[in-house]
Amino acid sequence: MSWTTFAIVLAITALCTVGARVLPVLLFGGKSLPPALKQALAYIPPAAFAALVASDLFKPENWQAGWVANLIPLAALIPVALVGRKTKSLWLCIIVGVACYAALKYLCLWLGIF
Amino acid sequence: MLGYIALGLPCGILSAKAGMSLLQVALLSVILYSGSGQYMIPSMLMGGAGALTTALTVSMVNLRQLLYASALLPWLRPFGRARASVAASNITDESFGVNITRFEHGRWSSWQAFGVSCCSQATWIVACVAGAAIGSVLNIDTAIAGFAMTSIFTCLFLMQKLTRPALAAAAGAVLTVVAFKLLGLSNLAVFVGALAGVACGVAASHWRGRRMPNVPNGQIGDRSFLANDKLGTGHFWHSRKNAKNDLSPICPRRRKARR
Repeated sequence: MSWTTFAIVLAITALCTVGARVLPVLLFGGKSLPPALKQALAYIPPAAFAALVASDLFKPENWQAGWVANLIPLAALIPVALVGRKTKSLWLCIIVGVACYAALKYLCLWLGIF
Repeated sequence: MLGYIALGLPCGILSAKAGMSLLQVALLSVILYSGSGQYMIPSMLMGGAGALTTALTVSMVNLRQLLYASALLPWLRPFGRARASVAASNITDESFGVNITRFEHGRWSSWQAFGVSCCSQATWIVACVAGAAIGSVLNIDTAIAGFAMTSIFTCLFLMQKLTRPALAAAAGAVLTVVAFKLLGLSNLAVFVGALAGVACGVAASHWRGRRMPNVPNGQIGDRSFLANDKLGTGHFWHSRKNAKNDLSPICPRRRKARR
C-alpha cells in the first residue's frame, strides 16, 4: 500500500479513536454523555457492520461473472450466521466462513458450473 | 490473551493481502489498536473505497469508545487527569471489560488498569505482525480472504444487542448501501450507509418510544469483540450495581414520561 494512503488512514483513524478514548477523561466536568448522543452512538455498530456486510455481498460489478459466482458468498454466509448467532465467537466464524466459501467455490469449479 | 492471538493472526494475514507492509501493520496495531478497525481498513480498501472514506468510516465506528471511557470515569477520576488519560488511551472492548470488573471489586489502580491494557496490546501487536509475515509469504485467494472479513463483520453484527431500533438501523444501512452501489457510488456506500442507518435507528426508537413504553434494557457495543470468554467480561453488564452506567439506548421520551 502506498504510504500516502496509509498515512491518511492512520492519521485520521488514530486521532478519532484515541480522541474518543481520552476526551471524556480530559473533560472531567461532563459527568455523563447526553442520552441522545449515547443513543446515536449505540446504533453506530449495528448500522456500520450491516453496511459492511451488505457492501461485501452486493457487488453489481461482479454480475457479469454469472449468477453462480454471486450466489456462493450468499450461500456461505448462512452457516456463518448460524455459528455467529450460536457462539458469538469471531475466530470460529472466520474458520467456518472461509471453509464453506472455499468448499463451495472449488465444488462449483469441479462441477464446471463456475 | 488467546483471543488476541486467534484474531490478530488473520488480521495480519488480511492486511498483508491488502498490500500493507510489516511496518505498516505494526504501526496500525501500535497507534490505532482497534480490532474491528484493523479488519475494516483492508476490507474497505480492497473493496475500492478511497483512503478518506475508509478513514472516516473506521473513525465513526470507533466513536463508540466514548462510551467506554465515560463508563470508566468514576473510577479513573481520583487518579488525576494525566494518569487517567494515560490509562484511558488504550482501552479496547476487551480490556475495558476486564478493568471495569476489577474496579468494581475494589482496589485497582490506574497503573494496573494501564498494565492490563498494555499486556493485551502487546499480544495483539505480536499476533498482527506475525500474521502479516505469514500473509506476505502465503498466497491466498483474494475472494476467500475477502470472505473472511465478511464473516467477521457478520459475527460482529450478531454480537450487537439487536433491538428493534438496532434492526431498523441495520435495514436502513443495507438499503442505502444497495442504492449507492446501484448508482455506481461504491466508494461512498459504506460510510453513507452507516450514517443513514444510525438516523433510521434513532428515528425508529423515537417512534417506538411513543407506541411501546417498555424498551428492554440492552447491551450495546461490540465490547465482546476479541472475547474468548476466559476474561469474564460478562459480569459488569448484568450487575445491578452499575445500573447507573447502563449504556443501553435510552429513549428520551420514555425518560420524560417517568419523571
